Amino acid sequence: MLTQILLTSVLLPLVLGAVIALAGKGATSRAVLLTALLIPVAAAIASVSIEGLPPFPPIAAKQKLPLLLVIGGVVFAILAVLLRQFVNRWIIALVGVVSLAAPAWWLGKNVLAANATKATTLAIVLVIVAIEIAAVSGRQARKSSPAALPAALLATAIGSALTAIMGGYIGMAQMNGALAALFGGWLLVRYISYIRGDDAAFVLGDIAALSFIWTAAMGATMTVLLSPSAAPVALVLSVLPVAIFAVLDWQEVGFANRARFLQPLIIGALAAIPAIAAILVAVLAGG
Amino acid sequence: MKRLILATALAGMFMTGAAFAADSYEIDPTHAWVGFKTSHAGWAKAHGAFKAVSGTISFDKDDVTKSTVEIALEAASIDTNDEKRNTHLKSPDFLNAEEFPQITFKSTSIEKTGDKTAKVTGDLTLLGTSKPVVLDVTWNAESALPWDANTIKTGFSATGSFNGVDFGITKMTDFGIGPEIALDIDFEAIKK
Repeated sequence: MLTQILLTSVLLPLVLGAVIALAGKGATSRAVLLTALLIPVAAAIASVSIEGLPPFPPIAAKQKLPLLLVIGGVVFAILAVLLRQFVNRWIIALVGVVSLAAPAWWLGKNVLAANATKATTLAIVLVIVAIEIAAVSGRQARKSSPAALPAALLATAIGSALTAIMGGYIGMAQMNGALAALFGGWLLVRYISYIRGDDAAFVLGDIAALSFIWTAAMGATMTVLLSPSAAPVALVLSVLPVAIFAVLDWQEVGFANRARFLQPLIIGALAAIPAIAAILVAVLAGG
Repeated sequence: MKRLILATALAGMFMTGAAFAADSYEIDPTHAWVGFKTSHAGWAKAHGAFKAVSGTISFDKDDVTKSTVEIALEAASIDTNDEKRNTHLKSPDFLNAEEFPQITFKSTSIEKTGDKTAKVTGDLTLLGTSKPVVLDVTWNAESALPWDANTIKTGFSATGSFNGVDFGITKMTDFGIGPEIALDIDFEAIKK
């Protein structure tokens, strides 16, 4: 059983993340398109490997998730082609809001209608993510600390995974763990490129960044909707690492005075602070 | 013409009488026990029960095959004597109680097997999936309450089984549980 969990929740997504990092290298439009398409699709593959092939049409939200991720990947790939010439941060933000709200409704309209606490928590989580998307979008963004965005999403996935476990939903903990491994595989390859001198190793195009954030947000959305007793505060904290990235980016913090190999690690550690707080809250609430 | 009217009236009376032959009952939720057992990695049988049970019965004692039964269980009322396990069982890994709050059984056919026994076939709906399940049912007794002669109570026992994976609980095998789930049901019902 443990071997199976490690294979589906860690090894497979880690390898997929590394492959996507290699396939989508550089800031070319082809790289953006590939990353925008493949990150959600890889998450869908991880979901199927964890939960099995869903029936069609899917009945439960966990069966809808892989289909949703594939649709998301295709939509982001199309947007990567369409918005190649002109990328306005408000257009990206609008796409972000729609891409968060519509799936949340499809996945959990019954739960949202019946459970006011979950509806409120999800609304707060999605508003934060939408603000984060607006904050990180546009050509003016990412003046510095480009490693912080994927590192923040890695922290979000880990925070959501631990919150899901403490909330009694082990399958979603596995899925969020798989997302962490996916982002981790991508970061590992890009970190090696960075160490070898590629300053733009962590840079993502706008739509690719949106695709990354959206994929992590879908994991958080499922955790909010379906964990029987996940702590709402922990769920909100787990999506805040991207806000740390936005602040670092806004302040143009890059830790340039530190050793080169340490800079992304310091940024990653800072971005992880809200996720660590989320884990602490989840553990305390889980008693 | 008068004869035709009379014949029609008599036929109507008999048909109405047949319809009234079935008595209606409502399950007494305070005297209803829906228990289950399933293998826990081969070590032992894990036991559990649902605390919230409701339903109705149309019981035709003259022709039991014309009877019907509908039972509903609140998925979130599952109890396995451990709160953390109960929480996990309510998650989408198992019962997905938030998305599918009710588990229902609705009879589709009844075959009489003895004086007080029958095989009741019905649709079990679990996690949004309906599949036929057969219950072996025994009618135990019917009598008035000792302190209230106007309230008639009847009681049944039933057993049956189904495969959890068939209903989409694929995680059962991952966690070394089941997949066969044995049901042990007892309930009392008040005549309406």
